[in-house]
Amino acid sequence: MPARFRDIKRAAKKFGIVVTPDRAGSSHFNFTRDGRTFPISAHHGEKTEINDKYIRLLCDAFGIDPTEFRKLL
Amino acid sequence: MLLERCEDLPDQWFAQCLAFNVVSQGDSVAHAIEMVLDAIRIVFENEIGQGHDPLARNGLGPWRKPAKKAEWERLERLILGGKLGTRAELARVDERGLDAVATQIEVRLATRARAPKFKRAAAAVVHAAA
Repeated sequence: MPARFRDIKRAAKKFGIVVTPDRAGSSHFNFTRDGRTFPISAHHGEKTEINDKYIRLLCDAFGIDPTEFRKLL
Repeated sequence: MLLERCEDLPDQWFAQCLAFNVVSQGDSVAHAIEMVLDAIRIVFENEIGQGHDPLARNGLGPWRKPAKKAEWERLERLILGGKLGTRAELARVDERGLDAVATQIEVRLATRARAPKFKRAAAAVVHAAA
């Protein structure tokens, strides 16, 4: 199931992930924890809908249980 | 690079560069390619900025996990079973109602004057073309 960017950002913060806009001004936001960065596209702003596979890969990148992450969306 | 129309968001395309395992999403095939190239730039600049080689571990850098075997198999099936198209046709994929595309990208690294600690190859991605 897809989720809005703003909800993903809020859930990620609860897992200690820091979310910052890309310094170069692109429509990506950097999701960073322990030095590792995973960019997520917000090309329609906070309302951007992010597909399920993208969310699962975000969880995989940071070792987060996707089911636990989904509960926060 | 594997590009697929999102099953759960049919007006969106998901782009996955399997070699570097970097992903992004866009409104069209061309937009998704543009977005994943930008995501590669962000990931590489972050890794280089911390003194790591983004091309180490066969292009996975210090942290990225390899893409799943099923994704590589999907790419292989597309390459072997799909129709070869031109770069111009790539821009018209949306009109043709296709759901998946495989393409190749070229990422070039270049050194900036104020390069960080990482010296072997590069300081920033300056050019990336589909």
